[in-house]
Amino acid sequence: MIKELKDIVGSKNVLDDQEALELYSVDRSLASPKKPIAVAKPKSTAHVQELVKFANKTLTPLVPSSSGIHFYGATLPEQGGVIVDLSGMNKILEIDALNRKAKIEPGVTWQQLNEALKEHDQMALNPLFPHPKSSALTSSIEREPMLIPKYEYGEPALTMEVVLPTGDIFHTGSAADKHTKGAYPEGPGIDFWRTFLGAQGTMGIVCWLNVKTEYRPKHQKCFFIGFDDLGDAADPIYKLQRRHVGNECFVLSKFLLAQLIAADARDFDALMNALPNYILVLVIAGAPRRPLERIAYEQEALMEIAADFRLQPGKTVGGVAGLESMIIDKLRNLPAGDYWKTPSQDVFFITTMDKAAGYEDIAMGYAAGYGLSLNDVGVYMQPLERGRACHLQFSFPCDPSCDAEKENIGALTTELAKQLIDEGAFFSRPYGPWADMVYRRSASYTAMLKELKKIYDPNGILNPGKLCF
Amino acid sequence: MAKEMLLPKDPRYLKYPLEAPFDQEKARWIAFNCSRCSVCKWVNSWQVKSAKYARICPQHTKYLYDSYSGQGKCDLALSIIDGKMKWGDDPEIKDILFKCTMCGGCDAMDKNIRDAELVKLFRWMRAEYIKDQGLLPEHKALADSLKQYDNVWVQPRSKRNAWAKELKELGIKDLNKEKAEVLLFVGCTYGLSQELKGTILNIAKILKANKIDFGILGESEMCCGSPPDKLGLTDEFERLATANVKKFNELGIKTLITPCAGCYGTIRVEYDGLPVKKNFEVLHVAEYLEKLVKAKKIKFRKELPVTVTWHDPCHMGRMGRPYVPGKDLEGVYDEPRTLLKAIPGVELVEMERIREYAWCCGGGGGAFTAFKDFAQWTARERIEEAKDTGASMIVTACPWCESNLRAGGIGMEEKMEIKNLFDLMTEAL
Amino acid sequence: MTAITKQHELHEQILKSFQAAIGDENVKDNSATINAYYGDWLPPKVLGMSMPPEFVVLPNGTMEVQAVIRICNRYKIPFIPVGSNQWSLTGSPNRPHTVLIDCKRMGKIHEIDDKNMYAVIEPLCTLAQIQAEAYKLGLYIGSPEASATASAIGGHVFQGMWGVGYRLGVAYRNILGIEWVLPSGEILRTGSFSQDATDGFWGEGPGPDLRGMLRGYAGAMGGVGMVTKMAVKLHPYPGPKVWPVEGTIPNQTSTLPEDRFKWYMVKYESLEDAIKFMYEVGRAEIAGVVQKWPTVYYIWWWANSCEQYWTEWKKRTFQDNVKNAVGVCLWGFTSGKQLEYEKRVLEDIIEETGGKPVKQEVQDMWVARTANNWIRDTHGSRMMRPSGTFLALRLNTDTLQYSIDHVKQGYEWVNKFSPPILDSDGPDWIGGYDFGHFGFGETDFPVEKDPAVLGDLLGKLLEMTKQDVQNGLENGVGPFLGGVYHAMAAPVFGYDRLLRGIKKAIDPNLVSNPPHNIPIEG
Repeated sequence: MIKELKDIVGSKNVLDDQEALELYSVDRSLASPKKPIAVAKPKSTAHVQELVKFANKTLTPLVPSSSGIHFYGATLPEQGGVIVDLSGMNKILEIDALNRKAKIEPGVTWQQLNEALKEHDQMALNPLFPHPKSSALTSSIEREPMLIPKYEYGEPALTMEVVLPTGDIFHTGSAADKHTKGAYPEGPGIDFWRTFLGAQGTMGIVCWLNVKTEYRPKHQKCFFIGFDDLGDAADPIYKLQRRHVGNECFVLSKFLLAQLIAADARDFDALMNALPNYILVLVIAGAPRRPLERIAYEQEALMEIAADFRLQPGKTVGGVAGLESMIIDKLRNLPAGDYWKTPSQDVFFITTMDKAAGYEDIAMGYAAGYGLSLNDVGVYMQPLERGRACHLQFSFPCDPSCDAEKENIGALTTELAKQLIDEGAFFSRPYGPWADMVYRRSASYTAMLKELKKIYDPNGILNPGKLCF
Repeated sequence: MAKEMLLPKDPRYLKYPLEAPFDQEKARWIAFNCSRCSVCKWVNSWQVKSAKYARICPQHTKYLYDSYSGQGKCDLALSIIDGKMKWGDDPEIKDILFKCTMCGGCDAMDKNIRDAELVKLFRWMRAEYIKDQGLLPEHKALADSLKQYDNVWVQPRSKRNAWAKELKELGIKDLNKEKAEVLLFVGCTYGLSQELKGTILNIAKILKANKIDFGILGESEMCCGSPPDKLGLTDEFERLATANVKKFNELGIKTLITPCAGCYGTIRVEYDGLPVKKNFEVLHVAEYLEKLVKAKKIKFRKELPVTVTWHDPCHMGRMGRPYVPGKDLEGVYDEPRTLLKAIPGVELVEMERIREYAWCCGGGGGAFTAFKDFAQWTARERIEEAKDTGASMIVTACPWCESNLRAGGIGMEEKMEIKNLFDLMTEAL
Repeated sequence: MTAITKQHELHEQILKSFQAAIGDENVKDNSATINAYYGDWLPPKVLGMSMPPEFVVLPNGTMEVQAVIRICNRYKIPFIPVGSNQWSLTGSPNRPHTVLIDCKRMGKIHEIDDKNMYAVIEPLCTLAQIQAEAYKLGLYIGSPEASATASAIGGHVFQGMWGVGYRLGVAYRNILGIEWVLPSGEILRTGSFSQDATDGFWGEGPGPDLRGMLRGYAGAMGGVGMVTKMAVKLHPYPGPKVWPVEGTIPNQTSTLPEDRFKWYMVKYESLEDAIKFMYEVGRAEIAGVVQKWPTVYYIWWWANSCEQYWTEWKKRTFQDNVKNAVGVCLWGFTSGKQLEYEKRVLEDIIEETGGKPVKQEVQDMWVARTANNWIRDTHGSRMMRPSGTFLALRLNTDTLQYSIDHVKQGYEWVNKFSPPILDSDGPDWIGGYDFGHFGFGETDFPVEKDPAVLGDLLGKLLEMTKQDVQNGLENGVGPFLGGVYHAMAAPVFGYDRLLRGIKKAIDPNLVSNPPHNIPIEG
C-alpha cells in the first residue's frame, strides 16, 4: 500500500513513521486518538484523484485534512485508513479584485490569504480570529460563522472543484462552464455545492474553492459596549443590524476578550477585574468611497440606538488603553500566534439572539456544577444575517495534558450539548458526539443523508464514521 | 438606413379589436391570449394590503379550482371554440359559468396587464351555453317574469304604483304625461321591494327639496335589461334595452339618474352596444347629488355620530364606464365618499379592497337569485372585511348589494348595519 | 392538437383512493376541471405538446400531500405540484394519467417572526401577500420579474432573481427550514425543522446541506416532490407600512418616500461602460437595486395597451433614450443620511464613468409608473401584451463581465432568429447581485403567439441548446427546460451519475413530474 501511495504522490509525500502517525492521530478536541495507516500529501487535483481511485480499489478509508490545525475531531481516522493531508496544496490560484473573489486551495492559510489580499485592498470573510495557520477553505466549507452580519450573503463559498468519492472531478456552480469565472454557486443540475458544505470531508475532497472577498476598509472605528447580562445585548444588536449599522459585530464574554488582549497573566487578571461581563464589539468601517462620511452617518445611527437603550458606546471598555487599535489590528492583520491562550473545548450552535440568554443560563448552570463561573468560561455570540440568527458558543478551558480535566470537561460539554439540543439549540455542524444526538432527532434527514452518501460514495471510503455515516 | 421594424402580423396585437362585434372570433382572441398569469385571481399586487384580503375573485376563492376563475373560463372557452369540448360534456360547466357574480374583479385586474374584456367573454359564454343547453332552471322564473312583467321580481307592473303613488302625492312629475329635465329611473329592485322603496322616497324628497325638475315613469318603467344581459339572455336584453332607449330618447330628458348600480352600469355602458344611441346623459344619483352638495345646495343639519365604510358596487365602479384599452378604469368612486364625508359626524373608514379592486357583495350575475349560498358566502367575506375596519355600518348605493349584504349578514355573530347612502343622507337633513 | 387523454384503466379505483384520502370534494376528474390546468403562455399548449391532467387534487397540509403522493406511487402515475399556478412553466402535464396537485387549500402564513426576520408559509401564499404583511413590520421580501402573484415557495424553489437581491440576497439563500414531501412520499424536514418541526428559522444542515437537492440554477421543475411548508428570510425595509400607490388601473404610479429612496437613470455610450458603472456601484457598496434593462422592458411595463406599446415603439421613445442605461435605486436603510451619502457617492461614480442622466421626460415616464416594479411587483405578464408571448435566450449567471459576453452572443442568435423574433433592439437585461459579486444576464424579446412561429423557434432553441452543451456552455436557456436539458448536459458537466442517483433514490417510481429533473431510463 505504501508503495502505491508513494507512486501517486511521490515518496517524500507519504508518511508512515509512527511518530508522524501519532501526530495525525489527535487534534485539539477531546476525541480519543485514532491512528492512520499512512499520511499522503498530494500536490495536485490529479494526485487527489489517484488517491481516491486507489482507495476505492483497495477499500481504504481516506480522511481529508487541510491545515493540520483542527479542533473538532473531524480529521481523525475513525476507521483507520490514509490521511490525505492537503496542506501542500496551498496556492492562491487567483485573486479576482474586479469580481471580489479569490480562488484558493485547501492548504491556503488564513494568514496567507489575508496577506495576499492586502495587496488588492481586499480582505477575506474570516471567522473570529482564526488560527493564522488554519485553512481558509475549510472555514468556508465548514460554514464557520463570519464576523460581518451586514452581508446577508453570509456564505462566502462560491464555486469549487471537488474530487468525488468515486474519483471523478466535479465543478460546482458556474465553474462547470469553463467560459465563466466561477462566480455563481448554483447548478449545474441541482445545488450540489451545498451538499459538500458542513460535510467534514465525507462527500468529496475540495481541491479549490472560489470565495467572496470584500474591500479592506482604510478607515474604521471600533466601538465597545459593556453589558452585565448577555440578554441585554440582544435588543440593541437587533436594532443595529436592522438599520445596517457596522461591519464586524460580535459579543465576547470578558474571559474571551481578556485572553485576546492580555499581555501576560497579571494583565489578564487585571482585565478580568476591569471588564464588564459581556462586551459588544462593533466596527464601523468606511467603504472605498467617501469613507469618513459613511462612518459619520453610521456612527450617528449607533449613537441614536445606544441612547434609546441608555448605552454609551466607547472607544474602549473597562478603561483598557489602546483597545480599539488592538482589536482592529487583530481583525485586519491576523497576526501570527494563538489568540486563545487558554486551550478550551467549545460547544456551539445556531439560535436566535432573543433565546441566547436562556441558553447561557443553561450553560452557566452546568458550568457551576463543575465549579466554573463566568470568570472561567468563554461566551461568544455572533449575530448572523443582520441579526436574524446567531452563532452562540461556550468555551470551557481544558488543559490537554490533564486527563482528569479532560474527562471532566468532556462530560460537561457532552451533557450540556444534550441539554441544549433538548431545549431547541440547533447544532447545524454536528461534530463528534453531537452528530448522534442531532441525527437521532431527525430520522428523515438522516435517512436521506445516508442515501446521498451511498450515491456519492458507494464504497464508503471518504472519512467513514463521521456524521451519520 | 434603419432596419425595417418587425411587428406582429396579426393586427389585433397592434391594436385591440375593441370595435369588433363580440362574436366567437373575439371570444377566442381573448381566451387564446390568456397567459395564465393568474392576476385574475388576486388583487393587483401593488394594492394588496394584507394576506387576508388578497383575493379578487369570489368564485375562485370559494370554489378553489382554477376552472372557477377568469383563467379557467378562458381555457374552457378555448376548448369549446376549438372543438375539444362541448357545452353539454360536463354538468359542472353550468356551475363554472353561472356561479360567478360577473363582478368584473378579474376583468379589471386583467386589464392592468393586457387588453381584454373578460366579463364580456363570460357573457358570450353564458349566451352560447343557453343556446345549446337551454335556460338554467334556477333562472326560469326570472326569465319568465321579464317576459311577462318586464321586471325580474315576478310582480305585476301595477305593483310599482305603490311607491309611485306616494311620489305623485309629493307632486313628482309623471313623465308619461309631462316633461322634465331629469328622469329618475328607479329600477325593478327599488321599485318592487317593500324593504327598499323608502330609499326612492328619500331620494325624491331630496330632489324635490332642491327644486330639481325631475320625474318618473311609474308603472310604465321597464327593467333596464341588466339581469338578462348578465345571464346571457341576449335577446331579452336587446328587447328591453332597445325599448328603453327609444322611450328615454322620446322623453326629451337631459339626464337619466338612477340609484341602482346595476341599472346605472347597464344603461351607461351596455346600451352603447345597441344600434339606437342615447341622447341623454346617465348619472348615478350619487354623482348627481354630489354636485348639489359641492354647490352647497344640500345642507346637512343633523349630526350622525357613526363610523361607516363604503362598499363600491361593481357596476358603479370598475364596470361603470365603457372600456378603452389603456385608459383608467374610472367609475363612481369619489362621489359617494364625498357625500359621506359631508355628513356631520360620519367618519368614513376604508376597507382594504376598494374602488376598482373592491370585493363584490355577491349579489350580481344572477347569483343572488340562483345560487344563494354562494352569494351570501361572498357577502359574509365582505362584511368580515368591513368589520376589520372598525366601522359599524356598511353604506352602499345598490339595491342588490344592500339586499345581499343583509342576507349574508343573517346569522353572523357580530351584527353589521347595512345602509343605503341616500337613506343615511336623509337622516342627516 | 391535444386530445383528451384516455383514462387510466384503474381510474375509478384511483379516484376513490384520492377521495378517501382527502375528501370527495377535493378531487376532480371531470373535463371542465382538468381543462383549466394545462395552458399557459409558453409554446407547449399552443403546439399541442401538453395535455390536461387526469385528476386535480387539492390536499390540505403535509399529511394529505403525503397521502396523495403515496397513491401516485402505488399506481405509478405521475404528479405535478403547482404553487399559485401562475405561468405554470413546467406545470403543464406532458404525459397521460398525470395528477395535478393544486395547493389552493394551503395558503396559510403560519408565522412571521418580526424580530428574527422570517416567515413560515404554505405554498399558495403569494409574494404579494407576504410583502403586505412584512411591510407592516418594517420587513421586506422581494418579487421576481414574473410578478408578486407568484407563490412565494414556488418563487424560492424556482429562481427568485429579484431586483433588491442586489443588496438583500437572491432566493436560493433566502430559503430556511423546509418541510418537503419527497416523490417517494417520505417527509423530509431540513435545517432547523429537522430537529423541531415547528421551528424553521435556520436553513442549513445538520451537516451536509440537503437544501441542495431542492433547486439548482433554474429549479427542479416539480421533479423532486412537493414543498408543503417553508421558512423564508425577510429583510429590513425602510419603506412605508402600506405600499404607496396612486391612480387607477392601469395607470397607477408609485412613489416611495424621498427621504429613504431615490431612483437614478444613467445612460452610457456602450454596454461595456454601463457594466463598468455597475461594478463601481457594487464596489462602493451602495444602492438597493442595480439593473440594466433592455428597451423592451421599459416599454413592456410602461405601456398600458397594445396600441400604446407599438405606437411608442415606433416613435423610438425608449430605444433612443435608454439604451445602455442603468437604473439604480438607492435605499436609506440606516437613515435619511445614508441616502444622502449614497447620492453623493453615486454622483461621483456617474461623473467618473461618464454617465449621463436619461432625458428627464423619459425618466419621468418610467420611474413613477414602473421603476418600483423592481421592488414590489413587475406586473410581469405585461410582457405578453404586445405579441401574445415572449421568449428568452442566453440566461446566465456569473460575473457582470461575463454577462456582457453572453448577451452579445444573444444578439447574434436574436439576429439569426429575426424574424420571427419581433423588434427588440438589443434586448440585454443585466442585473447586479450581491453588491456586484455576480451578475445575471438574459436576452428577452417579444414573439408572436402563433403556432407556426413558436414551433419554428422552439426547434431553433433546442438546436442552439444542443450546440451550447457541446461547446461546454452550461449557462444558457437550457436549465429552464428542465429534464430535457439535464439529460443532455449532465454527462457533459459531470453530474449525470449524481443527479440520476438522487432522482432514483427519492423517486423510485418516477412519479414526480417526469422527465424532471432528469429522465431515467425505463
